[in-house]
Formats: sequence, C-alpha cells, structure tokens
Amino acid sequence: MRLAFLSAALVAIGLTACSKQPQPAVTPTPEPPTRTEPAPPPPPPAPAGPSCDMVIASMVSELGTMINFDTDRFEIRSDAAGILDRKAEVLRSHPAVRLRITGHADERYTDEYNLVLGTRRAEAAKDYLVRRGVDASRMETASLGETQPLDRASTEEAWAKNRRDEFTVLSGRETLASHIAGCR
Amino acid sequence: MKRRILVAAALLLCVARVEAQDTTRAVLRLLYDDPKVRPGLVVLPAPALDSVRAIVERDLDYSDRFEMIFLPTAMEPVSGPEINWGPYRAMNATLAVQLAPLPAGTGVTVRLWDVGSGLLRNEGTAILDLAGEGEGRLAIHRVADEIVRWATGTPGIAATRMLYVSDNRIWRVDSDGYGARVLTPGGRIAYSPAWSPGGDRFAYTELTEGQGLVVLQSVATGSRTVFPTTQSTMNITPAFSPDGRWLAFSRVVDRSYALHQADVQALCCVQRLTAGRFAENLSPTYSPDGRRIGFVSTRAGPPQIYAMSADGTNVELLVPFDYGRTGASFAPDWSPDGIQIAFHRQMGGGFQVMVYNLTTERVRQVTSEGTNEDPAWAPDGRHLVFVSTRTGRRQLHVIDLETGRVRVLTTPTSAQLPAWSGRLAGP
Repeated sequence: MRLAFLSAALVAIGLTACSKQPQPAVTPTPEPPTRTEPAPPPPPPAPAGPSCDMVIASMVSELGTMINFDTDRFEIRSDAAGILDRKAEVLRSHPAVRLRITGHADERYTDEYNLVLGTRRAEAAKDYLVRRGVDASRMETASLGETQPLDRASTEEAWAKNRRDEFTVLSGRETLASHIAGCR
Repeated sequence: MKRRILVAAALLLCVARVEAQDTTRAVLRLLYDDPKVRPGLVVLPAPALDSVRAIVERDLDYSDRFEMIFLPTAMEPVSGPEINWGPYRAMNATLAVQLAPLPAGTGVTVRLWDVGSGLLRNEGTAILDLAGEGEGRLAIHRVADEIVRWATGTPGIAATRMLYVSDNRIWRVDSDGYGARVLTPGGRIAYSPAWSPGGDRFAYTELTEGQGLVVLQSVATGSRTVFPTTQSTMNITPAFSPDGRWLAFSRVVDRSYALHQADVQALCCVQRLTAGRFAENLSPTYSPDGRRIGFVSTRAGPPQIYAMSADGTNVELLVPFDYGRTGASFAPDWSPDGIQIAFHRQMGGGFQVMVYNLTTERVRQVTSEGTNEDPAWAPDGRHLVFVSTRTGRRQLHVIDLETGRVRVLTTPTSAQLPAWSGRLAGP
C-alpha cells in the first residue's frame, strides 16, 4: 500500500519535473539540511534526468514487489492479486518491458518437489498477468525451490516470507518512464 | 527355514572336523550369511596399528552384521604366535580379527579366527597407508569389507561414500562420516546429486536465475560438463541407469515436468518418456536391471510413486495408496536387490521414510522421530541413509533395516538430498 502511494507520488514528481516547469514547492528529497555533513553533491546538470530515473526506479520497484503464497499452494491470494493488478497496468503501458518470475518455497516441503512448487507459483503469476492482458511472450518463469530463503529462521513467519514469487525486469527498463513527457 | 537347517548341518560338520584335526589350522567354511544372525566379534589389540584398528573396528560395527565386543583399553596385546583364547571365549566372541603389520610398515596382514576352535578361517594381506587419513582411508575400509565377506559371504559397505547437499553445494563424505569435502564451486546452487555406477563421477542439477542445468562432474578432477540442451529450461533430479549408459531426469515441457532420458556417453539424444500435459513427473530411479524406472507423479492428483518401462511405456502405480487418505509420497529409490522401494511420505505434520516391498506388497514405516526424508540405499540393500531433523537440524542418519539401529553421520553443516555410492574400487 505504501509502495503504491510512493510510486504514485513519484510519477507525479516525474510529470512535473519532466514538463520542465520549476515548482520549488515540491522537492524530491524533503530532508532537513544536515550541517555536520560536508558540502552536498553538486546539482545534476540536466533537470529532466534524475526525475525520469526516479520514475523508472519506482516502476521497477512496483514490478519487483513480491507476492506470497499459502503453504503447499500456488493459487494467487487476494493480496497478491492486488499487487499483480498494478504490475499488469505497468506492463500494459510499457510494452517493451520483459519480466522473469521466479518461484520460491519454504524449507518444509520435500526438497525436490519444492522446485516444482516454485515453477507452479511462477506460472500462476504469469497466467494471472496474461489474463490481465500481458502478452505471455514477455514473461519467463523459473524456480529456485527452497534454496534461497529470505529468512533462514524456522518459524511460521519466516516460512510465510519465503513462499513467494520474485519479479525481475529483464529488458525494457529504460522505457519505464516513457509515459512521462520529456523522458524516453 | 531351509537355510537354517543347512547352517545347522554345516555347524555339525565343522565341529566334527575340528575334533578330527584339532592340532592343525583348518579353514572353517561356516558362513554367517543369515542377515539376522550376528556372531560376536572382537578385534584383537594391535599396538602398532591404532588408526587402522580403530577404522576397521568401527566399520565392522557399522556393518551391523556382528555383535561387537569392544575390548577394555587395558587389555594386553597379543604377542607371539599363540593367542590365549580363554578371555575372548569368556566374552562370548565367536570371531576374532587380528591385524599385524607387514614388514617396513607397508600394510597389514589380516586374519579372521574362529574363537571357539582357535582355528584360522581366513588370512590376507593389504597394502595400506597406516596413518589412516585422507584418500588412504578407503583402502582400510576395503579391508573391513573383505572381513565382512569372509564372515558372511557378502562384502561390507565401508568402502563407499555419500554425496549430499549443504548450503547449496555438493559434499562428499566417507560412509563412516569422516573426510567430508566440498565438490562444487561456491556462489552457485547445486542440487540433487546422483552417483554414476562406478562412482567416478556424479550428475546434479545446477539452478541458475532461470534454468536448471544438468551437470556431470568428475569426482577426482572436478571437471564439469553441462549436459547439452539443458540450458534452456528447468532440468532437475538426474539419475544414472545401472549400466551407466543413460541419464534420466525431469524437464519442463509445455509448462509441466516430464521425464526424459539421454545418452550419457554421447551426450546427446534427449528423448521424452512421460506423456501428458498437466501432470508433474520427477525423481526417476532405475530398477537394478535397468528395465524399469520408478518416479513421482501427480497424474492422479497428489504426488505418488509410479513405475514404467525404461522406454516410457507401461506406466503403473508402483506403491499403493488410498486416495484422499494416504499422504503425498516422494523421492523413491529402488533397492539394489530390486524388490524394495524406499521413499518418504507425508505423515501428520512431517515426512517419514517408508520401504515398500514388491514381493509382499507391504509398506513399512521405518522412521517416526522428527521429520525424515530422502532415503538412499547402501549397496548391501539393508542400510538406508536419510535426512532427519531429530537432532534439531537436518543431518544424515543411517538405519540398518534388519536391526533397526540408527546412527548419525555427523557432517560439518546441515545436510540434505544424500546419495550412497556403490562399492568403490579406486583410491
């Protein structure tokens, strides 16, 4: 939820900055100035550059948001559906972007079958995105089973985190701000 | 029953012979070949051969073929040609192993004595590194295996090794838990090791960001060969055929895992074995005659154990289950004698190791403490290595199915997916 807000804010920033209308009221980094620090980095030369980069970064983060699964299952949960809906929107409006979806499992189920479970979880997300209008050829799937836990603890909380799909932008990253005037 | 009568007859025969020629060394032919009979065995003190004696004694213990008699450390060593059998008879020893150094420390003379008669059963020599370290341990393990063969007619399983996965790398360890060594490079994810029949190389899956490659690696040199055509999708759970010609593995085709078989020598000719689009098929295991392949399939819904001819025809359910009641079943391993399938099955909150006997058509649960997974047969067909959490972390355990005895095979780090080699001939 917070991420969605953030990315929406950043898109707004990108819109204003890239349209080259200086608006000092909206500053990208509203931190209080730190007096103990040495001189701040020099301002970037092109005013459009950093904002476009920030839009791209927020889009990549939107696309990269993980989804989680129930134990031994690969059905898309309602919380995951919301996350995938936002990805579908980004993907539909940026047709050059390609994604890899990697499924993961927690340590409890059978080691080798967890590779299958990971594949099923990745395919489930892909299927969902296809139903939301994303071309299947833009997504590849992979599985790492239980080999890459996010949390190595053997607790319900850790297992819940580890049962997930990860999303990686394979190509087209630079086009993710193309909807903003002034960005490519 | 018939065998027991024969053994009894042989025993009488031997006693008669012993009485007839009590002053000379006679070779006793009595074999303790009934797997349930465990003669008392003692390894005699061998002062100059402490390391060798310790390894041989442990190996004989781990063979589970003997009622071991461990001597108090204060026991006087055997000196001179005559052994005083009195104390050993009092300890109920039936057999005694004597180790004596060869001249110039090049190896040992090994003798197996019949304690009751004081007669020599077997004698042999072995060239050994007496320090008993590193690669030299395997030669000492072979001495123990030969002693088991002398006594029971079947060699022991000490000169074997296990492969296992720890922290996404493949390790090798001697059957007694010593000499653990990592074999695959760091920074990669290696999974599902499988021995070649000769034990000179192994196959495994290397998981990358997007594919599962099948890799063949030499144990001695570490040289790696990526099996051609495995770079494009997920290829998992490789297994060698018993003659070493074929490699079976599971590959994603049409979005589900299908079993394939490929020519290992020619590194080519991947052919699909299982048909059908909506079932997962994985974890192949060849029958010892190479004619059939057992595997896990979801074709009926829950994962269960099936078998088919090695060409992919004649698929049938291998291990029976009650639909909706029996837990999911995984990781089959076909026994060297061909009549047993070890696997693990979901029970309560975890998994337990099971053995299905093809002759009696019965499933036997062989573990109950903690969660227990991924059994693999020893070449003697009576021991299994498996992963258990009973000590608090994933560790390898070995069970003797005849006696039920379990030992922990201590490895430096947590362990999963063990594979047990055949008897190893090389160094």
